[in-house]
Amino acid sequence: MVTNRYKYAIEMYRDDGTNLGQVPVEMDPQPALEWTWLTGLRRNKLELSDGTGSSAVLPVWHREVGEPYIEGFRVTILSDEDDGITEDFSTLYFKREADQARLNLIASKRLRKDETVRYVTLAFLNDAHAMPAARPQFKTREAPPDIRIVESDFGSFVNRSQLEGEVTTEDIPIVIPRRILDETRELALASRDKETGGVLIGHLHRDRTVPEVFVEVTAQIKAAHAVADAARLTFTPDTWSAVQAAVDLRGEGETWVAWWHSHVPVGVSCKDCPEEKRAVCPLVNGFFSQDDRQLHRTVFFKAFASALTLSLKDEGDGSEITHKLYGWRHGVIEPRGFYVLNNGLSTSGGERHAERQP
Amino acid sequence: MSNTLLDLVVSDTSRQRVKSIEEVSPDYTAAELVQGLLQELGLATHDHSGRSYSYHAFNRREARHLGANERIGDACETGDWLVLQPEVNAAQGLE
Ligand SMILES: [Zn+2]
Repeated sequence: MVTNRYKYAIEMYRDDGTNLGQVPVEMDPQPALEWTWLTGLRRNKLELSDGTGSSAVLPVWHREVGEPYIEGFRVTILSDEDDGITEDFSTLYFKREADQARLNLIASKRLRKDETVRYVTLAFLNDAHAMPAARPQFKTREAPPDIRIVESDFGSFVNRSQLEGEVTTEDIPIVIPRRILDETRELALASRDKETGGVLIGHLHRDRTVPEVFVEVTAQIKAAHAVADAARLTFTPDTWSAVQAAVDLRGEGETWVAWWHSHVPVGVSCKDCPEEKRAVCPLVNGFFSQDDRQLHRTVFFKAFASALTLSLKDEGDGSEITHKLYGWRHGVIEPRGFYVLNNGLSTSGGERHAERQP
Repeated sequence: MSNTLLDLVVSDTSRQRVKSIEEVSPDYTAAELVQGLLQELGLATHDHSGRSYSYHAFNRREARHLGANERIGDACETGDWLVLQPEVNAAQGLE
């Protein structure tokens, strides 16, 4: 059971110190729970079977001004075998909610577009015993996830890879074979005028000697039954069933580790945009929209899951594509680096043995 | 058709979060059960603009999606695994 007895709010201030008021925020604890779980797994403190079931979320009060102001919050996950794991999260966790609150202030004309704001975060004991909505009654028990972990030598993967972008020590290492990047690129080019995408499957590896857990992408499954146009790609329940059917058919014990999708050339809308502006434009150089974030939160909520975007450019013969990887860091989705595994090399070299959770 | 309580396994679409649910009334509709399970599984219920996601329950044994109004006692047997699958968009446009 997840114990989270506090409700959270944001207080906004103008630069000159004027208080712009408080707004309640709907705190979604899942990304923080998943991040804490992964940290426990990476440090040999948790096992796959521990899950996030026995956990608590508590505010960390502000050192100077104290309650109800917070510096962040603390998540603890208990383990069957060990003391479990504790992770602290800063108020940056609420940055998107603060950004939205700022936009709402602008929309209601209480703030000018060019004004900057500061925000502080507060927590209050949620003692309003809300009447539980009429819900189906049943007993629930957490069960092991359908994921296996392969004991491997991390070094043997790194030695055969090139680092692309920056991987911080906090980021779980992700290894993507170059052939899979090429495959997604070709699919994106082939459907040039429409967004396309799919799911990346692979293995979770663990090297207890480091200790480290890392992700190896092994295949790309193009989204079937998806509905696509130039600005939107809809993954339907049939898409997800087809992906899982493909995973089951392969019989390699792979799990969903990422998803990918393309962004079509922005074309007409950028025609009048000057060259120098285009060079730094996020629409041209890769971005992760609010819908993309929400899809990631909805389906790819495990902290090891990532998202690959491919952005097609208008220039030249149209074959220019940039890709970017996004992943969870402290419960927030951020751009990140990854390892590109060279083509033509077997990935089995580094495996010691596979272990499936009971 | 079952009139006794059912024990089921439920999971998110990636099967990375799994729960056993016990003593489920056979008289719930699939839609009622799905609604009750979203919070249980910690799944997102609405998109960033507040629109509710539509989730469908996929019965692995029969490899089919349950109709929203199907009675659980008619559509499931004890031991069945239901996968909750949303319809979600990846869309262009910056915030
Ligand atoms: Zn997108």
